Amino acid sequence: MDDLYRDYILDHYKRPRNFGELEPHDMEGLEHNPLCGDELGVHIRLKDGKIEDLRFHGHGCAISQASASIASEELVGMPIEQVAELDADWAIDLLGIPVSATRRKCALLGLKVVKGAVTGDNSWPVSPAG
Amino acid sequence: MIERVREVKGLHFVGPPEAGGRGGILSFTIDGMHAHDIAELANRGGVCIRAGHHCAQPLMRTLGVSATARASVGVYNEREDVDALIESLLAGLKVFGL
Repeated sequence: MDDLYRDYILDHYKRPRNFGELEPHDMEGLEHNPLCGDELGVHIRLKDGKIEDLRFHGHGCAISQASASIASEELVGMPIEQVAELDADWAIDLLGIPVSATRRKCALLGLKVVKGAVTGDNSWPVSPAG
Repeated sequence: MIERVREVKGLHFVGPPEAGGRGGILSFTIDGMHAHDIAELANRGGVCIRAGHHCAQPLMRTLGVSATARASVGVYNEREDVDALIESLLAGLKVFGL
């Protein structure tokens, strides 16, 4: 079995969950990675302090798209205070594959754009340690 | 290299269609596979290529692509190096189910 491009990773890449636009939405975020060309945005709708629904949009590599897709399934229903506290390990563990230093940015892009939308702070992660 | 890449299904390269008038650089995309994934798969075949915007975002926009993979050959490269690139891309298509 392929270590990186596992079946479920490619499945999420080809058929990403919770992708598209969400109108109306309460929060939004957008991140570019100018080096690799990835672009990922998110629309979030809130209800009672929790994420009621969310949609990612944009394009990127299999790792960044799959990571966002897999995370989206966990993020719906989560209180935004909890979202703000999520760390890099959460996203990496969820992805479930060994992520090299060069692909770490890909794996964290989805969580980065969501955290930026929720907290207004686009600086996360400040260091490779997340 | 120009001749061999035509064997790869879904591969589109940027620039003149023939080798004449080109340098030793070939920038390309593959349908259904992001440039960074292309580079990852080439790497598995021992071939180092670059992927991304290549510091040319306005050109990428003009070309209508989000990123390209880019293989470069020089005087130190041999035909076997191109063979290794093609083999790794063909293997990559299988990994991606394309």
